[in-house]
Amino acid sequence: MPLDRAGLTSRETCTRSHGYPAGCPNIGVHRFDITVNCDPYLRARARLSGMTSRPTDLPDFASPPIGEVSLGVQFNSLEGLLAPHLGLIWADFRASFPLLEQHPPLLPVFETFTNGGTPSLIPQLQILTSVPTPRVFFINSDRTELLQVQRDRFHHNWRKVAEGVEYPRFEKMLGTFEAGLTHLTKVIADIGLGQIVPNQCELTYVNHLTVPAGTKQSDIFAALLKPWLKAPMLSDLGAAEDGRVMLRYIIRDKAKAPIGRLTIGAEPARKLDGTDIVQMTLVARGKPKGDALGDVSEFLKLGRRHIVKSFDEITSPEMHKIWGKK
Amino acid sequence: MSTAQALDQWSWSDSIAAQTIDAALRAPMAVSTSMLGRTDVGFVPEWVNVFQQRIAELHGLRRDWDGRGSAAVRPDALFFAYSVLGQSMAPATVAPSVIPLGHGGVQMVWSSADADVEVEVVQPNEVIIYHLDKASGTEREWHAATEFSDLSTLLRAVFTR
Repeated sequence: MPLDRAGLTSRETCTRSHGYPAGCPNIGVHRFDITVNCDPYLRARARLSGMTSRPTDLPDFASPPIGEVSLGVQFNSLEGLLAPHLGLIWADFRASFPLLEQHPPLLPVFETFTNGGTPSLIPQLQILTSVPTPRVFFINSDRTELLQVQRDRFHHNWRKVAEGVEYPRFEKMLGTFEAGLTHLTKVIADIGLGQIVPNQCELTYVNHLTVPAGTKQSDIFAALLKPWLKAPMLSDLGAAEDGRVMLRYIIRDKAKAPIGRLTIGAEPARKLDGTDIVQMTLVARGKPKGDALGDVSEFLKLGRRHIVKSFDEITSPEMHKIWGKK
Repeated sequence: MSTAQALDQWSWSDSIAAQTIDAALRAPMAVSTSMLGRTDVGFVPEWVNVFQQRIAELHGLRRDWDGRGSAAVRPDALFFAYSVLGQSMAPATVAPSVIPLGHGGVQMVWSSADADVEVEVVQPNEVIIYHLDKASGTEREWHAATEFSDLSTLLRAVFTR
């Protein structure tokens, strides 16, 4: 369905009652301008529709091998938020995200730094509570986009559910994320649960790099990535059976202070249809400069810059041709 | 295995996308542990067990746990404290005493004949560190958000066996 300038489809469905005994008179499919007046989340999305443009200096691919993208923020835990509140929150997102799933909550993650480098390898901290408040997915009708909400996180994901589905691009996803977070902040305040205070931002790109036909297992990384990574042949054992890559880089602000990390992981995997791939996951995570929505967005934009540039720098020119580098 | 489950084991590996829903993500890289005795890597430091036991006690404290209007202990402060320790401590650094505070944060304290160190975690990204050098009588207090180099140097020099 075509999008108008506000990023809305030209016809949307209102499913809310708005206090009318017989339901909202706009129930049913109608023009978006009426719908905007009905649905709080869509109103927020329309208000924030000034989509930022793609930076011209970033590498661009016509067909990037992206399988999933997630924009997220972790905030100080809203201990008063209980499962029933998630239902109240969903009511405002339901028109755009009508499907619902429930999952265990994600644990908090923080990027901290010392000049000593690698931290101790320690188990994840688990704090057991009798009834953990769940993480809920609000999913759109074609299951390509979702919002995740839990006590201390808000995420917006896009995922490639079938070949031919086009990645909507970061700028549009950021618009959806900002509108969602803005409206969530308002709902949380209206319910009386407090304020959202962001403490970490997180941007994730999951890429599915299809292994070129005829490539030996030992040469997969060399074929997909630049020649810096080629598993050595051992005199007794020959070629490596497979391997994994994990790289971490520190993200710094203008004053060179560490504010986050870029983590790049690559490992062999197999799609549901049996196709061999290398799954490359790039995660930019760190502390926003302040508590405002603009600070969260700024970190996500910075993370996107580092992810796109590093992806371009570590993947091979041969693969760039396949992905249609402009 | 879901991504979240796969990444529950080791916090170092959780820098991979824990929030994604892609089914292709698999188990994290694990570090082998010697079955013969203690090694330099691959074992759970003693301070981790001590800290986790203490956290289990503190998490049960509800609002007004001290009868003076104190806030309940904040789980996000506990997680952040654990992250600071994981970044700052050597495996053989001694565990701190962990004390709940009225504002919901926690204080971690190390004490020896040479020095006292107190780390107050008010909330994530808001930490106050105090150091007393008993030999010289020198005191220092500073605020930290994400960078803990000085704390790490101190703990590794004075409180590591």
